[in-house]
Amino acid sequence: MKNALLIIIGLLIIPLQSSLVNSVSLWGVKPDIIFIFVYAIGLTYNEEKAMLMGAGLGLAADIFSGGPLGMNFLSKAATGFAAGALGRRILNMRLRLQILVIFFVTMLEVMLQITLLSVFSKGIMFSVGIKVIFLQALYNSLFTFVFLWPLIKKLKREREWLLSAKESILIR
Amino acid sequence: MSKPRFFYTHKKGILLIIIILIAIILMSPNLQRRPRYYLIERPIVFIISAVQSGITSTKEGISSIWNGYINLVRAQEENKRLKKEIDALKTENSSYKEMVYSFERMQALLSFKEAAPFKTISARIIGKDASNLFKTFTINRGEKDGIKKDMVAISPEGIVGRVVRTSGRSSLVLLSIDRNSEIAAIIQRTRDEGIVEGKGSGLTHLKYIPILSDIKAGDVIITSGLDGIYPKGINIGKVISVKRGDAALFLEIDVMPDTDFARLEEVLVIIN
Repeated sequence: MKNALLIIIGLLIIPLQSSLVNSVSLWGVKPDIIFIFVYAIGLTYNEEKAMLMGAGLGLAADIFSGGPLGMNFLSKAATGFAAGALGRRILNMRLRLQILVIFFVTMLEVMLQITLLSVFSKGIMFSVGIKVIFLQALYNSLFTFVFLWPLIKKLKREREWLLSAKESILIR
Repeated sequence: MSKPRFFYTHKKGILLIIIILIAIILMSPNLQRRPRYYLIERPIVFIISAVQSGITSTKEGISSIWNGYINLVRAQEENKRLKKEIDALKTENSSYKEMVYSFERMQALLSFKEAAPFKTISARIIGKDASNLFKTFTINRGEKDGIKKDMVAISPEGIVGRVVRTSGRSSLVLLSIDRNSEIAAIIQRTRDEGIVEGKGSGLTHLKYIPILSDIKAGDVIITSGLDGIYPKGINIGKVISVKRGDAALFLEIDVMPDTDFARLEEVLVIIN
């Protein structure tokens, strides 16, 4: 049931990304809500689930994109893996550090996409690449923070509760 | 160690390898050049296009209501006594304005369609590329409307791009500003021939114009028709800068497209 819901949300995210999100683009760069979703899955579940979801959504995004098929498939799966691997560890970090982590994960994702493009397609212009890498990283970290802050807080509370429950069991 | 156990303990690694292998298969040139969506892709394209179309219509409806609301608030500030009448009038006015703008846009498109020497079909843009690295539009016309790969999309201002992939009710249009777009072009005044290539930003650049050409900023670039895809004589854009390298054989020319891609809502697709 939960998985079906996640797939439905995922399928809704693609048309949202290609229609509604355009309204908030800055200098031609828009936030990547597929990234945010995959990142949230990674934080909440594990590497495998986030990787599979990232690969599936990435493939759907590739079908709707002018870029090479497989580019988003691989990069979003990698994002899922990174988010899953970072997982709950990120919850111990300070807020500024969390935003910085998202910034760097986005940068790495776009850099991977650009590398794949250079290998399998025509590549992109250096100036455009730099602009997209930084603006998208900025935009994504801001959006991820705004949208995922309640989730991060909830996961933090759950973790603290688990830790205290563990401690009380150990004391007993 | 038994096989299922090996799989279980190395699940992440195996999954990662499978994903990389699938990605390599997906990136093979044969799959990249597909003119139509594969059967397996079609249901996804169908569902997402339908949702996309719905979202675009809802967005337009909400923005119209929102404009009405803004006008409503302003009217309240201007005159409280005449609030109700002004509210109604402003809202009405706003929807009329939207209708007039839409009508003007359609009229421009229609008069262009009638004047154009080729048979065209109008299409609505229902989505833009999900990624920031490519410039494509999804339009609400597909194979069932007679759209085929390499058909050209235009606007009253000039070239928009060409269809790169089709499905039953929607198609993907590669814009002239995309890095993968190349159009055979000619400078209207000097008749020098070159190729207009997208830069991936909002601009394009004109390649292979010899250093001796007297091209200058403001010159109009049109399609030459030599690529066999874009018909001859359609506006591409205007030259905005010309650079002469020291040892270069060709000029470095930036071209600003005539079409405003950010505001484009409808296009015409040339079907013959």
